[in-house]
Order: sequence, then structure tokens, then C-alpha cells
Amino acid sequence: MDMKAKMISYLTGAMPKRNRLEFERFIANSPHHAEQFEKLSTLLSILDAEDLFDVPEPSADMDQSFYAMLENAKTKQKESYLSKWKNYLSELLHRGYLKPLAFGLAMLLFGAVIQRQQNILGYSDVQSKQPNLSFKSHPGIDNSATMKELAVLSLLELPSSSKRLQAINIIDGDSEIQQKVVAALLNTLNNDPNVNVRLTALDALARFNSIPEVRAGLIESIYYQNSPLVQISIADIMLGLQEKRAVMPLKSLLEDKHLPHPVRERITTAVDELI
Amino acid sequence: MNRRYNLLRIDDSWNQTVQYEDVDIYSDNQLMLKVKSGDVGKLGMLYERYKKKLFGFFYKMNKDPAISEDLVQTVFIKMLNSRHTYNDSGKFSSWMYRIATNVNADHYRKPAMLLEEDINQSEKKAPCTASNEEILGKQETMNLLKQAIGRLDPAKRELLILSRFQKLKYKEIADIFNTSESAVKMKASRVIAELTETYLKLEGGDGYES
Repeated sequence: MDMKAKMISYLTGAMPKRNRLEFERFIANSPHHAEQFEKLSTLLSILDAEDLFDVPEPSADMDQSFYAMLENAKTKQKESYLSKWKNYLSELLHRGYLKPLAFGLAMLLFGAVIQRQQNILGYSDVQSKQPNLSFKSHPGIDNSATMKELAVLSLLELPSSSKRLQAINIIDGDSEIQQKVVAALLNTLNNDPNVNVRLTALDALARFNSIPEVRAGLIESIYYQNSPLVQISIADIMLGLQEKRAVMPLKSLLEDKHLPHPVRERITTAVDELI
Repeated sequence: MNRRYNLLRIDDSWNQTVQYEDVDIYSDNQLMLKVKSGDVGKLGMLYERYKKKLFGFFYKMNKDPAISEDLVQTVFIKMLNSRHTYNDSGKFSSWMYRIATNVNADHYRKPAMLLEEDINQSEKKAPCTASNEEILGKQETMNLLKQAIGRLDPAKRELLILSRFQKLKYKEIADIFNTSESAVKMKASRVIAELTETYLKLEGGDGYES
């Protein structure tokens, strides 16, 4: 290996440790090579330290193109999920499984109706004992504070965003929800500084969309959102629910002249379809 | 009035493009696994984390902001399309740079000659002539280094940019190119040797003694 290669090997860290000491001794005893080594070392330090290329900032067009692509991908994915379900159903129909399936579903529905009736009766009793609730109660809202709900409420108060996410993930979409938890989730959706937490709160609330207070809270929360992901998600949810009361708040978002193009397009579509 | 205030706050945030607050709660790997499992929206967070680094990588290769932006977009499209192949056994950034280096190679494969000329032309904009001898020292060294980098072939330039400018570790570069760390070290040394050789020729020096 020639001397220049050795110098570069040393400077780039490629030289094995066992040879480094010997090389350092050699350079220390050879002023001529030390000068060359110094020059090479300076050159490499300029490579490392200086921004030779003066890289400009990427333009806003790059963001626009990316988010348009991402929206397109999301739409395609939703369509593919739908077609998968369609294929699955047509296969069931083809194999003659539909009749037993329909019977099963009907039984399930019957059970749910019975359960609902029982809840309404039980709920009236609880409401008469608690007249000072912060907002109107609903049969879907369970007023009994369970350990799980207490855990949700206390975790939502913590400064760590991962703990707040954990709190929301505890909520099970299949069970009933306590009104305090609904209020806490709406507060999180409107005020949490973390966009992931807000998105997760939105997902959790959307599962309880049959509760009028949840719906009203979701509509009101549109005014508070400044994240494109949350704005698009909430517009999608309103569209899915065919919630015409969301038209005004969605229109108010469109007043923002800096609204990114893909978000504007999505909200405009939602508004047009809701009107 | 309250609502108006919120809208004004939105205006402020939009002046700085899309903001993801406190996105560090998810690691790169966690985010990409979410994308893989169908939550494609999480790709937006990875984009916000890496868009500038990737843009810088491509810009250093081709010196064209518009092309660099297109290539960044291509990387993210490829990440989305090949998300099913992602596994969290290695670093996310290694996987991303592997895609980026492939995109870069595809780009250079098309008009290779033209691109070489473009880079060399752009480096010649500030030649070291007798008329601008007052611009000496570090600035001159930087200009000559830029010219020398422009004369490296794309694969060598890519290795140099990844190791010296993108500050990737040799181990990470080895993962990207599916080779060993020692092989990357050796190649990097050779690239530096070629770069300094070219630099010295441009400077008019005689090189180093053996």
C-alpha cells in the first residue's frame, strides 16, 4: 500500500487499530510526510465540515405532490377493501352460505334490540338520581364508572403523549362509554398538542357516532382542527355519517387561504356531497 | 370570535407547511409497520422526517432541485408500493436509502452522459483562473473539491455523499448495498483517494509520494 493510500486509510478509519500506532509514529518522524498528511487531513475536514453543495430548501410543490399521492393511495385502499368485501359476499352467495348467515345476523340484531330496551329502562333510573350532568345523557352512555374508565381519564391527564395514546387505546368500541370519557375525548380531540393523539381520539369517538352528544361534539370540533390529517379524517367521517350539520364548519375550514390543495379538494368534495 | 381565533392560528401553522407535533412518539420502524398494516396515512410522518435528507441526497447527486423533488416523490411512491416487503429487522433509514439509491441508479441509467455533462458544467461556473486569484484559501479549495466530486462516476459519488455528507455509518451503508462493513470502508477509502488525486490535478500539484 503506498503512503497516500495509508494516509487515507488512516483518516477514513479503514486502517486496523493495530497499524494505527505504527503509522502515527512514522508520520511523527517524517516531516515531509507529515506535511502531506496535514494537507490531506485538512481536505477531508473541509469535506466533513463545509456544506459544499449549498442545498436549497425543497419547494412547497414537493409537499403538494406528496400529499396528493398519499390521498390517492388512501382512496384506492378504501376501494380495494370494498371490493374485497364484495367478492367475499358474492362467494358466500355462490356457495349458498348466505341464508344461514342472514339468520345468524337477524338473531344478533334481535339480541341487540333486547339489550337496548333493557339499557333504556335501567338508564332512566340512573338519570333520575343524577340531574346535574354536564350534558344530556344517552342510552349508549354508561354512567357507572369502571376501573377501565378511571384509568382512561387519569392517563389522558398525563403530559406524555404516548400515555395519552395508551389511554385512548384502552377504550373498547364494542362496549358502552361513560359520559365523562366522551367529554375527555372531545377535549383531547380539540386541544391536545399532539396530532397522533387527536387522530386516535377522533377514531375512538367515531366508533360511538350513534350517540348524539358524540356527533354534536365531532361537528363542533371541526372548527378547532389545524392538522391536515385530522381535517381530512373528520371530513370523511362526516361524509360517512351523511351529517349535513357539518357543512357549515367544513365550509369555515375552506376560508383558510393556506389550506393545502389535497385537503381543500377533499373537504370541498365532502361539502358538495353533503349538501 | 373564538372560532376566528382558531382559524388565524391555523393560518400561522400553514405558513410552515404541514406540521406534525411530537411525532417522535413513534419510531421509524413502528410508523412503517403501521403503513404496512394498512394505515398508509402514517407515511406522511415518515415523509416529514426524511424529506429534507432525501432531497439533499438527490440534490448533491444531480444539482437540480426540480429533479431532486421528483426523485423524493418516486422514493415515497416506491416505499408505498413495496410496503409489504418491509420488515423491521434492520433500520428503516437503511431500507429507505436502499430504495433511494435504486431510484438514483434508475435516474442515471437513462441520460447518463447528459447528466455527467450537466454536473461538470455547473462545477465549471466558478473556475479557478488568474482573474479571480483574490478568491483564495478555503473557498478555492471548496470549488476545486466540488469539481473533483463532479468528476467521480455516479456510483462513487453516491458512496461519498452517503458516507461524508449524509453522515451514514459504514455499517448502515453496508446494509443498504447488502455488503460487508469492511468492503464499504475499503471502497470509501478508494473513492477518497480518487477524489484527492483529481483535486490535486485540478490544483496543479504533483500528487503524493509513495
